[in-house]
Amino acid sequence: MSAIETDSLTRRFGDVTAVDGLDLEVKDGEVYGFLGPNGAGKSTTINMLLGFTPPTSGSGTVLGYDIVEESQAIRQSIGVLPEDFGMYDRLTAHKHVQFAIEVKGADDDASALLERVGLEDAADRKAGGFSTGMKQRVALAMALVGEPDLLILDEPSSGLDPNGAREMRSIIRAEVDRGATVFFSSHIMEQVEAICDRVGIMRDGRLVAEDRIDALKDQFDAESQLVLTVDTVPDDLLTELRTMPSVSDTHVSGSDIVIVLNDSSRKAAVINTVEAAGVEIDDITSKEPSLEELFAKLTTDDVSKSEVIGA
Amino acid sequence: MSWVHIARKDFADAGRSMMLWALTGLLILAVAGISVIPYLLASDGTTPGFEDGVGFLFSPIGLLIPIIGLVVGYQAIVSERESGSIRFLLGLPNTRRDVVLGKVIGRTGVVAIPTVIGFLVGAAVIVALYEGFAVVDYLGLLAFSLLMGLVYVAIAVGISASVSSRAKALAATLGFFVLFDFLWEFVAMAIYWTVEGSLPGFDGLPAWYLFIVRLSPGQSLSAISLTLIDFVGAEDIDLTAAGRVAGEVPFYLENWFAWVIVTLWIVVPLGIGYVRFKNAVLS
Repeated sequence: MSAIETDSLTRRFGDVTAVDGLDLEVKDGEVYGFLGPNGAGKSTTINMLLGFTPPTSGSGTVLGYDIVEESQAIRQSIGVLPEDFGMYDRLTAHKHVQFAIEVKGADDDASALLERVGLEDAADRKAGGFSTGMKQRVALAMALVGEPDLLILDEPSSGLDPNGAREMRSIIRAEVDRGATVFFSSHIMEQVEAICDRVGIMRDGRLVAEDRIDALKDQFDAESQLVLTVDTVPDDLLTELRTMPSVSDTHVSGSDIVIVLNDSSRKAAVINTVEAAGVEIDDITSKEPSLEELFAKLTTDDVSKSEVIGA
Repeated sequence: MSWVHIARKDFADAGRSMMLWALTGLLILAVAGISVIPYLLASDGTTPGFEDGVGFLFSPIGLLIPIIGLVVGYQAIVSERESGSIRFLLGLPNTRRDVVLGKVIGRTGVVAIPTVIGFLVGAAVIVALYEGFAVVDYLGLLAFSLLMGLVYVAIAVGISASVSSRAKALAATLGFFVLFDFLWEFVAMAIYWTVEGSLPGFDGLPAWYLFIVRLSPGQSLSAISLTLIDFVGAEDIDLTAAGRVAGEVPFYLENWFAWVIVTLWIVVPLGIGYVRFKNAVLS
């Protein structure tokens, strides 16, 4: 059974189509990163999965339950970290978690959950005075109540400092080890690479790419760069480098030779060629294609869905 | 059954606000303070009776509790929509019906607790200053006050569930209060004038006109109060519709029927609010 499955899921607001015929499948036990720039339709999709917004057309299931007809059963079995949530300012962090435990009929210990998210010292403070990061931690503790089979986390690291984001990732990993499926949205790529089994990239309400991260990179023939800082650049060196099959482009920038490679395993060969030309290399810098660049390419270039998915 | 948790959380949240304490203070002041007035006005050497003290209480309570009920209730749901805490509420396995129900119960508690405290303090004052203490009548007035609180909280929560912003909720609540608690008799008169070409007198009135008057929550609650409390002089001037109607009193003008109207004032606003909230897109 898939943890999440949607079939032509569509939501229109007036003339605007926020989500356009989405077919999504999140497998049991995987970590799925749901990516895209703001306004791409990620939150609308999540709102439909949670029953906040009814779909205009299409259908979906979460853990086998229908998102329209069986929303309560879905929310009983999942943990939700919502986006743009507000807290009950006059209630303590402990009371927030306790409320989630009561509503779910779970037998968790609120204090233990708050300790897990690193808030044990603030457990009895009223949430009104909390920073964004602290609120995010309370919300995560609430999401963890009842050992949910699926965690839906909407922009989980927003408001967290790098340390907090790392703790968030380690909690996500622990949940996956326990057997949970994790579905989370983000508009920041770097947090995703380390943790996701698969990613889906949304743009204008459609899924423009969906795959494992390494496969996505391969699909795009992602190019790595080698930057060599040298003392001199002989005239014929660039010409010679361009004849190498693994080099797709090269140019000089100050005292650097920038070499664009379509096969990153051929770096040694390139360096040997440069040294054989009698050039002394002072420094070597290597740049791997980042997911960030890939993301930018997918969400800003004119890449159509068929090009990517069909590749 | 998760509305129980919502009601409890809502009451706990409101109970930590200044509002509950301000309301408690206000109601103690109202019940205990106002019941002192007839004692102060009484001529020297006489101790006024219990009925004088309680009779004086009725109108201020009848004005204060509706306002308190509306103020306590109108933000109940819409403020959670504006702050985004509704995402916690509905991300957990609560239905929207649980939310509406839990809010009405929780907020009614917020009005009821200060009311009960106010009446306890008031009882002490009345026992100390007045001749005799009719426990049943006093409890009747308390029960009536609690019922009135429930009605206005239900109306306000219904409004709160129906709209998407606090400003709209405030406007609708104010509009409701002005229309039904201040202007309603004039509305009824205007209808009478349109139909009959003259203004209504005090008695010998057609049943339909008195029924329109009776339809406001304040009027129907007053009719109920006559069945719960023995007011001094209530039998002398018959303010009930029965005394003003021309001919036979139809069943819908009898006091028991006011219970039906009051019940509708609880059920209909909540029903409309629930349906609108159920269909609301929370994005």
